[in-house]
Amino acid sequence: MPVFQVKAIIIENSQMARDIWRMKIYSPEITKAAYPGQFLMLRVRDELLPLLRRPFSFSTINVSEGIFSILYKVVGHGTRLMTKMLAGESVGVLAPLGRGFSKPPDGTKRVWLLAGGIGIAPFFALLEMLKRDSSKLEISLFYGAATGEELVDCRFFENNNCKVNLCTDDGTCGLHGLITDSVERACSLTILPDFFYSCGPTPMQSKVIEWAKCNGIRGQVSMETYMACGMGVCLGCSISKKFFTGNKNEETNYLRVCREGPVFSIGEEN
Amino acid sequence: MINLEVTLGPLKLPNPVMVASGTFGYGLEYSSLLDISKLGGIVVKGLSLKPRPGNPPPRIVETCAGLINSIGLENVGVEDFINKKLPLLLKRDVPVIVNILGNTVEEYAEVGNILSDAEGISALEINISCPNVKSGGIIFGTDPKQAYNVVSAVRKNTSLPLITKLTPNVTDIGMMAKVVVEAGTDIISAINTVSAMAVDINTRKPKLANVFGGLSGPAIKPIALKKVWDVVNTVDVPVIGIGGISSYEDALEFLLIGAQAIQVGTANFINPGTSIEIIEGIRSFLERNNIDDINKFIGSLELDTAK
Ligand SMILES: Cc1cc2nc3c(=O)[nH]c(=O)nc-3n(C[C@H](O)[C@H](O)[C@H](O)COP(=O)(O)OP(=O)(O)OC[C@H]3O[C@@H](n4cnc5c(N)ncnc54)[C@H](O)[C@@H]3O)c2cc1C
Ligand SMILES: Cc1cc2nc3c(=O)[nH]c(=O)nc-3n(C[C@H](O)[C@H](O)[C@H](O)COP(=O)(O)O)c2cc1C
Ligand code: FES
Repeated sequence: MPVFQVKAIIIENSQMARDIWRMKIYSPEITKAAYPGQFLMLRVRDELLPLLRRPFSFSTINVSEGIFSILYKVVGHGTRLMTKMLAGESVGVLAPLGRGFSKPPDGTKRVWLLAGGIGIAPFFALLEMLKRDSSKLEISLFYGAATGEELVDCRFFENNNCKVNLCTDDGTCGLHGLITDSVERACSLTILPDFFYSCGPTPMQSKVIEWAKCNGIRGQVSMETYMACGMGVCLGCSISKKFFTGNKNEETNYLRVCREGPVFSIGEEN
Repeated sequence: MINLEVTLGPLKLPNPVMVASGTFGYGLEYSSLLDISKLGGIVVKGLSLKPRPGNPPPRIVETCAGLINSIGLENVGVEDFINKKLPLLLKRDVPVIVNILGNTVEEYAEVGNILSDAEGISALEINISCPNVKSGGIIFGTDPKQAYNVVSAVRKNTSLPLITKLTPNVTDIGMMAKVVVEAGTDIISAINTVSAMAVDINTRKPKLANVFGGLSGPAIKPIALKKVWDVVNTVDVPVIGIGGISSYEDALEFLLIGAQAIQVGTANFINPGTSIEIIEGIRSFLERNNIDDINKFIGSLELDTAK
């Protein structure tokens, strides 16, 4: 798998919801090589602050135009600086990195996408891939945020025949409660999915994994950790295998999120 | 033609720019992004006798112009390295230096012994910044007697050029340098990371699971420069400067004060091509200043002695 280290031109950088922005970047070689669920390391600027590159998932991948985008949430110094960048400026990108989502197993009819907050980002590209490979899949999105103002526009999902279920922690939009509450409720009302994809904060992921195990559903989760190199070198991004398997004996069996992940399979031996 | 070749006692390097242990994996991870055969040398991740899992996460945190890590010396173990990693790396025609670690004097000696029998290795670098489990976890490199024991034990087991990597977390690094030279090291490298910690006032928790770790990156460069200065001025063996080097100017500062080579660490994470750019940068600097040999620049710091 090729990895490119480039200076790429920003095509657009605009706000999508409260504290949530989208940056479109032109790089035909990266766009062509990227796969949904993979990520990139962005050099916010050539200065000492912030020092390290910041990891972001590919949100959309448009091969014909040579443009990909990231959807990012403003949480700290680096992402705050990113909102100041303008179209036409260039930005350092190291990509594509990590293992992305894979197709659901043959015979899968129903797929759920579970997105917590900015975890919605990679699902734009994923949905496109799923639709391209199998137009007959029945896909539902469960998408939650702290408050209604932090939810991004979901028309892309609706327009692609994907049923959208929203929820917010404060009840300002959709169901009042956490995404895992929303999923639990759906479970009691409709038929369970054959496969799921989940992306969101780590506490949500651990609940999702528990839910998947209880119901015997296979799927994939995309994880977030701190990263320094993004290329399997620093060993800083490790996560315990026990997080996925629950097996105490695997407590010190560490996996690199940037290399063995960021997407990990649940419910099968990997 | 500008000469960049440097000779560090028994170790000859094509140029003075190496990559530091723990920041370049086992040598090949970055090879798709740069021509690693241009490097002065590759120091691979520290190896122990058996594979080690490392510390629980979170293991890294960024601070002002620096990175604190508590990786916990995770590595594949010396056997796996020799069987699976080394043969591929040796095809690249670049000096390979193996960083070694242990929790007992015997472990260091054994790892040194095993590597001496492997072919193609250019030198060993002893990381003495490890806790000694047999003496209450004291860091070997902070206790002169234990540092002596480790280095002399490895020395007995190998005829490879021996580098000892010093920790800055001591009161008198010059004294530690003398001790490891007495124990038989050929070369000294300095510095390893600076002991550090970070906490979160909102969660009231440490930012690293291990509570503390080692600081690296541009933040430590002035500290490193002084420590290297202290070593250069107390012992006669060649010294390799490490700490916060991210540009050719940084590299030249260490060479100016008398280091004969340097290693690039944290900067690799930000730009894997840093070392190659440093080599090019040094070459053009020498050209601009009409210096035909890097060795004429090394140690050429001018001190105002009139005062
Ligand atoms: C594989 C991967 C994919 C990601 N994809 C996206 C994405 O598509 N969109 C997006 O907005 N964010 C994504 N993130 C998270 C993103 O990298 C961080 O939010 C970003 O690095 C924060 O930088 P900062 O300088 O603004 O924040 P900092 O000043 O570094 O930190 C501010 C706050 O953010 C938290 N934080 C910082 N880095 C991370 C991290 N890597 N993971 C979790 N929390 C962090 C800190 O705990 C702190 O509270 C991803 C992370 C990974 C590992
Ligand atoms: C993530 C990480 C892992 C490291 N692992 C090792 C190691 O295994 N052995 C060692 O001797 N030094 C190790 N070091 C220390 C570096 O080799 C170097 O001495 C230090 O980072 C200072 O240089 P820098 O500021 O250029 O990074 C590590 C440093 C980092 C950041
Ligand atoms: S981020 Fe460096 S190993 Fe994963």
